[in-house]
Amino acid sequence: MLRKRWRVLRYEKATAAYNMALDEAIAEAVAFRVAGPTIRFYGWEPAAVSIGRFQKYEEVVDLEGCRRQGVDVVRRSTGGGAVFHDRELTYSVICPEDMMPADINEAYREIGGWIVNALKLIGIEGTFEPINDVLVNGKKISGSAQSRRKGMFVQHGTLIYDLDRAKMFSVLKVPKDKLEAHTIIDPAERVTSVREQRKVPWEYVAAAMANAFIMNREWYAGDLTADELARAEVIARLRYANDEWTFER
Amino acid sequence: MISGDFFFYPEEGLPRLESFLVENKVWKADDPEREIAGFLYNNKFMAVGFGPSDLAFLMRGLRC
Repeated sequence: MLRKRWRVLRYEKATAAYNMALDEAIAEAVAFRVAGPTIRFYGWEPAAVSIGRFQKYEEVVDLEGCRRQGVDVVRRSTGGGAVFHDRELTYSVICPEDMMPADINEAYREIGGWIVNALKLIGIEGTFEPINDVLVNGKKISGSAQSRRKGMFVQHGTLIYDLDRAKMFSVLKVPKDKLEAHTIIDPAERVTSVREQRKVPWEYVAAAMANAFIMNREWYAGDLTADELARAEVIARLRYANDEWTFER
Repeated sequence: MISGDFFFYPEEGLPRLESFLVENKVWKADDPEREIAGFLYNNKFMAVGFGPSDLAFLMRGLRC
């Protein structure tokens, strides 16, 4: 039962380093079968920029802008691009790899479909855009990053609830090649938020995401174990809050 | 060092690809794309967001 029944964790906010460490601690617990497959919803306090595993930080994040505004910077264990996490709902899906499609792109499509369903529940028409985005009216509202390691599947991603474009682009640098690859000149116009599409209260969005993620799945409302919490503290200290990791590229 | 907003599975494989490229001077190979594709296939590595042809294109630039 532990293997198939999803543990759904309640929404909580934490620092960037702790958020990333907790995903990893949960993955370890699921790998050792002391926890079941887990769906987690969370936020960021303070706001943060997460950069992809393989990105050069000086190319994608304005460290001075972050410092000035008290925005954390963390390097993810997953690939992909830099993301500004502020007024958003972040999710993680953590399970044995065999519970998700073997094909990486198909897995992105599956969870992207859950997000499209969540948007539908609050009256917003979204579409999955390969590799890993969900768009509304052609603008990005959600992005995800997936990792597969030692038989474990971890995908985390965001749903932008509200958007402060000025703040977002005062902490993110848009690489030149990205600017050239898109026809819309202003990168700020390539993103949107739930609030821009519909004035839906935060609680409705959180409920819609939870409902879409548990749809047709066995689940229970669970808690983190003391071991997971303790392990997350250690991983945060050793890796995600460690400058050697954050600024390794 | 290869950097960017791509995905590489498993993530720990990227430093091995970087070492392979340097140690074997892949940019001097007759067919860098085939060398890179073979390395990825043999090690069960997968890149999403770039392919062997993209790397080979960059490698060819190193020949100059």
